[in-house]
Amino acid sequence: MTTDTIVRAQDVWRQFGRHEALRGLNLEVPRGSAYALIGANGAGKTTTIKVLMNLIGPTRGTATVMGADSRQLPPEILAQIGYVSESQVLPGRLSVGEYIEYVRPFYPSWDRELEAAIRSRMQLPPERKISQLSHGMRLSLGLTCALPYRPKLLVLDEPFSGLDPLVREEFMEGLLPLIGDLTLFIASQELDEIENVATHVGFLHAGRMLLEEPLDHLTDRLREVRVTLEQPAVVPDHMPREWVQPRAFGNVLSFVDTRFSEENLGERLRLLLGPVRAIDTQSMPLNSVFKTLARAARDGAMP
Amino acid sequence: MNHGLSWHIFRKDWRLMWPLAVATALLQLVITAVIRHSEPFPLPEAKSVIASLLTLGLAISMTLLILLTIQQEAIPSINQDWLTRPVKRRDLLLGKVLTLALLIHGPIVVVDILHGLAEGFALGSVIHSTLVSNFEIALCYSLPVMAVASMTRSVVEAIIFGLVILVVGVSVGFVASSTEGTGLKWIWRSVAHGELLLVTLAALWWQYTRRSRDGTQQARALFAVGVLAFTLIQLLPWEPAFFIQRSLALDPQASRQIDVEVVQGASYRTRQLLAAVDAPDPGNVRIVLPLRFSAFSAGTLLHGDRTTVRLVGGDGVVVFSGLGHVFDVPSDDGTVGQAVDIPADVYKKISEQPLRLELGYYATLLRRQLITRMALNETRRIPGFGWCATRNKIGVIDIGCRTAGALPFCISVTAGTAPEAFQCELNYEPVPLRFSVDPIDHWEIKIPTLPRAELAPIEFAFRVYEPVDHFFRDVVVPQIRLRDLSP
Repeated sequence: MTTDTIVRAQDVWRQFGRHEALRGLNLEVPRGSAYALIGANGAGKTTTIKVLMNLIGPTRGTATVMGADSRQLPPEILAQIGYVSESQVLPGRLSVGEYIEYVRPFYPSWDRELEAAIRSRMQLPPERKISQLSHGMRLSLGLTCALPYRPKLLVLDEPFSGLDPLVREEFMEGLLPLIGDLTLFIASQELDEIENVATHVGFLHAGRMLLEEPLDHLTDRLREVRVTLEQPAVVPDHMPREWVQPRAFGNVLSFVDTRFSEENLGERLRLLLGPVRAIDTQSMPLNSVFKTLARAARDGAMP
Repeated sequence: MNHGLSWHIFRKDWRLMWPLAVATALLQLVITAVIRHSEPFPLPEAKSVIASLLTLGLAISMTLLILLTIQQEAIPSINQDWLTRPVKRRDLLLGKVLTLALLIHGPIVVVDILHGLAEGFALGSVIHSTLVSNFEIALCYSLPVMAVASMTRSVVEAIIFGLVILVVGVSVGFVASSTEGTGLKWIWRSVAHGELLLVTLAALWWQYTRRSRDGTQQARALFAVGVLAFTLIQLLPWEPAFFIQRSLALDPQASRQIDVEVVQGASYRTRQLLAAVDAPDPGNVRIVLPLRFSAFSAGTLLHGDRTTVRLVGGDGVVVFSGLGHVFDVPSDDGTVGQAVDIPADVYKKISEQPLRLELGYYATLLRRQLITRMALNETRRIPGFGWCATRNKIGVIDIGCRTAGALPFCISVTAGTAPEAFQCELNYEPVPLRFSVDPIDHWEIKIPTLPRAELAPIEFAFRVYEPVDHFFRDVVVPQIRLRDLSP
């Protein structure tokens, strides 16, 4: 592992009975990045995070987190990791205030001023029992307790389901910047929320990492292309493999180019499709990137 | 290890568990109020029933308290928040031990000490017996329940796991222990308890030092095997147990001169003073071997713990091999009829044949000691012994004793010139090892009442019997005929 990698998984497999949730997973999270792990339901995102956090062990393969084997994360490492998951079980009979008081002494670097700032933004009722909190409020509490010790690595597994948009925005734009030197590793279906902060993307499908790269590379190379032809458009029988999701309507042929390059674009299109009247290329939001990749993976047409 | 964090974990557990902990402590107080004796006789039946029900409630309450405390941070969980917190497992274990010590054993200690003092026992002996009984409770109950709790995620899961373990243990336990019913039963029981302690500690260590689902499966398997071994250990053979017992004898020379012989032609009565003996099975024929034990001193009693019997035919074939009944031989005449039950069909075939008889005697010499003499309707505190009383009830005389700690396992009472009445629970365990979950030991006996004229001046002599030596003798009689030994 290079010193710039904070999380790494190498050929990680995880079986549950006969079901293989992870099938040779590889991933690398650069230090200081905001890594978005995306994938359809059942792709293995939560299993990946549970393996990384030593909540379950890999069936085989190895994962390291901050240089330590994920199967033996010592308290010194855990003290530098924040973890929030929608499936996390908090002690329901403690009140919000009691829980924060309980968690605080385990972290030598706990910053009470930061805690106060976070609590004031999250607006959690300190006297209320955790069991009486809504799902969203419990997640807010998890987030509240994951930040005041200024973790070096923040691992979030679907942290936004049930959170109201204001809290999401507060968290992503208001609170995360307060932490300073932070690597964010987040698995979420709320792609619009993470698009603004994500620097790297890993696309997981059926337990395998199909794609892993910086987000700006990805958005640079994935473009939605609309070509207006001189004659009615037809989807060609032999398209380049990197063109996915082709559609023809009237004179317009549209597709997603997964290896987009502007170099000689018009010439290349003309050779393949005939006379071209207009070419329109658009970069894609993360949401569309995900849908494109998910469809391609589902159809076995991953470029 | 950070003791501050252990204390922090304890305080959190207290915050969550105090209602159940207080309820458990109150239940103990109520039980103590119910069972507190104003005199050293058995409780009235109604009180005993109430105390039993309350004790059952206490056991349930304590079990819940242990399970819920441990499962606040369930080791096999994959979702609990604490798993990703920098909680050192040893801090956690220490915090939990602290919680159990202070919330479960703390109240027991306090209540037991108050109970002992309320019954008038000396503070020193009350504290000692309380600590010893708590050790026994921790060993046999709290720690195993804690281990089960650490291997499960919920109370229901723990109960199911516990029941499976119990069923396995009980099923195997139906096989009779080689030492059951004898004074040696403590030996394999102690070894089994030691084994259970080791397995329990190993399971806890396993769970609190390595956390994974596989680790939990391994710990469960280890614990299940340990419980099975706990039961199987009690099936270990008699001979090594007797060897251990001999090595612990108080006076290893005391039985050196004792000899035993079968006195052919004599007719001695069978005597079981210390241990109850079953009536003969209808399918068996009982023969009685007249034995004479010589050279054992006055003031002692010889208890035949186990007799092996082999009958060998003229052709050298063993026609019967089994055990004789236990027996007791007072030192006054040294004779006893040793009963042996032989299956009727076997007896029928061999009763007229000349047979070679091979006997092996494992016996214990018990020294008798007079403790005190008391009058009827007297209550007395006997230093170094306990709190005893006698009373005349309709048809019977009740005699009872209580003490903080353990009473001798064998106490007899002689009322005037009546035969000595024994009430013994054979146990040759050295006194320092005699643990009991009950810090106050009790002993009771009922003897038939006497005519009014004899009652007034009567004295009750209390005697105790303690083992001083254990020995083995074998006897071979070259030729006997069973029919001559049948009653």
